[in-house]
Amino acid sequence: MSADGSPTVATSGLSVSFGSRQALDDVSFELWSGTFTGVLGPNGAGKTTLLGALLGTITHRGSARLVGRPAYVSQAGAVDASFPIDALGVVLMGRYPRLGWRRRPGADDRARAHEILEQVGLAAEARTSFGALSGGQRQRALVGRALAQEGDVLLLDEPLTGVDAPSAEVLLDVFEAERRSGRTVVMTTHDLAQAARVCDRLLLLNRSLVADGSTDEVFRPEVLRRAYGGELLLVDGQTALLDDAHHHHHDR
Amino acid sequence: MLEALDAPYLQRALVAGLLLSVPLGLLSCWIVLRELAFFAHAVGVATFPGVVVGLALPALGPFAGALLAALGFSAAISASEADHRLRGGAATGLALAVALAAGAVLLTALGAGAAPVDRLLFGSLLAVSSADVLLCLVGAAVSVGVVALLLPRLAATTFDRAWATPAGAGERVTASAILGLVSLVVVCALPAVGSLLVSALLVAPAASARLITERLGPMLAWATGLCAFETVVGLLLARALDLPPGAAIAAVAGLGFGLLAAARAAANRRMRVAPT
Amino acid sequence: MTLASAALDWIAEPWGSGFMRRAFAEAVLCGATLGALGCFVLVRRLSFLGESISHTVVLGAALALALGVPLGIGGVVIGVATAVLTGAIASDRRFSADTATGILLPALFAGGVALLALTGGGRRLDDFLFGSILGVGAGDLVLAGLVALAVVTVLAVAGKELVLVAFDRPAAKALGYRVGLLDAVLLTAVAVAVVVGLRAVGSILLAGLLLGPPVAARLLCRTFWPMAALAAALGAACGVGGLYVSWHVEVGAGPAIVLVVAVAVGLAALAGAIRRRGDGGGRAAPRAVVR
Repeated sequence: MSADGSPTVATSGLSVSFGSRQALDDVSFELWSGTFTGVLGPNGAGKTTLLGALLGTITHRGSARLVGRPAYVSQAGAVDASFPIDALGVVLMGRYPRLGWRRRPGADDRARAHEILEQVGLAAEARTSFGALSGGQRQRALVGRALAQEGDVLLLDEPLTGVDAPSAEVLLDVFEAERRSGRTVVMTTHDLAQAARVCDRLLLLNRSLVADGSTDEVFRPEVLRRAYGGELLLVDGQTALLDDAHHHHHDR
Repeated sequence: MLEALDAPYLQRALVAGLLLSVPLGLLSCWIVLRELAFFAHAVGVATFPGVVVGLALPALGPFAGALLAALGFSAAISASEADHRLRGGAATGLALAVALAAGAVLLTALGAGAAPVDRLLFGSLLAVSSADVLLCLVGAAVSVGVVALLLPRLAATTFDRAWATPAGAGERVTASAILGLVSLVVVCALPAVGSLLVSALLVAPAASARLITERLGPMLAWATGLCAFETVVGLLLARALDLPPGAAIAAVAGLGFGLLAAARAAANRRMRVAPT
Repeated sequence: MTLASAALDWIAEPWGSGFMRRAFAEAVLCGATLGALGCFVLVRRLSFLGESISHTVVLGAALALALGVPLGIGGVVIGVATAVLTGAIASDRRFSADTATGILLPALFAGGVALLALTGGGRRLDDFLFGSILGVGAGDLVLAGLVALAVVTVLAVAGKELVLVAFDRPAAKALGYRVGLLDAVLLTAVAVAVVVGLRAVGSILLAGLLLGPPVAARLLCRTFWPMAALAAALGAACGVGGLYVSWHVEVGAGPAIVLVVAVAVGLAALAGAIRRRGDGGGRAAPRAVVR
């Protein structure tokens, strides 16, 4: 929580529409510091839109408040991988907002950047060009940039999608470390199992907020069906979802 | 050939060219990285009607006319990119043809007082006056200053606009600044290079630099150096072979890229063949 | 003299001259061909490449002049080579298609201008730049007619495949279509049409006829084939209209045609805006607004 115990991230009646399409409908929740929240939902559920509203880059009705400085890791597609920059340069870029856009990073900033590269396991790749990094390495560099911002709220948009397992493990450790040091971590994902493992709070989004609570509260069949609208299949005690298009006969 | 260097008109052209190669080289990097090559070409062409009108109205003058045309064109093109049906440059391509057509019609309408078409389109060594050199100096200073000031934002927004915008990089300001600077530098280059080929120096040097280095700082330096070198070689070639300077410079710039690309390809092949 | 007979005179007058009759025919053929093909250029976002090819064919013409080969052959060869080289440069992950085109357009165009200057073909430069539709002969008309016929054939045979590739390239590949071959066919057709169009409006104005009628049609149509048909018709109509303007007002034919295209696009934009306001619909594609 922030200094006075109030939430660091709060929305109330948040609604967003693009033309005739309703992307978010009356979403309300509160998050406190030192928490790791997962935002789940199918494609088109409005997860990225939610982050955009919190960052102030998407116009919305209702309120979306964020206390402190946000650090944002966008979805992979927005980055120009052919840009001439190395991993160290990417992380250093995270210092720009703190420095003000006119000053150049100094020795302290470079030292911090090297620390962060160490933390995300890219110390050896500091001078490797971003375009030459693997998908997982690139994602680690982009998370490193967010860490360099030393923001209060960490907003992650599908940070583990398409990332190799070792990189994902490194990143999850990093997110957990951020949570422990008192930051508010918000991660959108469509990987239910992973979110259940690492997040202490889950928001289930499908244009509106379908569920909000702990893993046990949210991971109930009727709740998931409302969010995803599909059939459930229980396999070895783990829950898997089939979407409506596939109908299988199965034994329970 | 060396005696020719005594000629004041050639000296002016060389000085103007060297002065401009600094902002041209720097901006070319951002043109390549931000995929503004079509824009750069179109702005160059769009100055044509502005120059024609400026020549016909002594109170306005060709420089102001060209600058107004370039800035107006930039604004119109930015606005049209918002219509998703025309995304992909169709409006840009159409608009530049219309600008050229308008310029050609104005040229006939405003009579024989205007300069010959070829000089407006391809530049002329004789056309660079001392006033033009001064304008080049001012234009270069302004451009270099603005780029230096905006460098961190430029890098951040070009690399990842989705991150840079909420981080406060001011994407709109940066983008507008680049468009404005390109217009300014293009207009300064018009007397020597003309409107049709000025974009050569706004793309090829940076592309060549990109073949040489993977880092931004060296890329900016190489692009500037290559731009200066290609401008000088092009101007001297134009003088020696009696070619329009715009054509000579553009051909040299393109050749520069071609040679560097070939050299890179050869080096890569040798690396692959060499035993490890 | 009544208004009606004055108007009829105004319309009939140019048809008295042989060169104008041929110019009208050329304008119709080129306008329609470029208009139809331009629709593919538009939806495939190849406008810069189209602009590039219309400039680089000048190098082809210059080489052909120097080698004593028909201009059209030189133009088409270099036009196709431009498309191939652009693709080659753009295949490098460091360079976008925009950069690749931005390198080749000025380099090859400048090469053409320089070659013309060096080989004494400089007098032809203005013709290449602005067109020479008023000097069209029977041979040119036959060529334009054959090209138009060829384009119609290509569209009849492979039209829907070309549209599929434009709309959803990965799907076309997955369905087994030879996407590379279809691209080659399209780009060759564009190069050939550009070379023929060089006569009508010239190299630097060609983008006007290649992109203008498709843009106007796009603002009025929601699906592809009506758009292509409308663009072809508009191209032909603007060609004819431009020639009328050129005849009566005494401005160059090429510029006149492009300015008539501009008017047509303006009217189409207006008509489209009025119709959309009537529908009550908003912008079709969603855009996030930066606060």
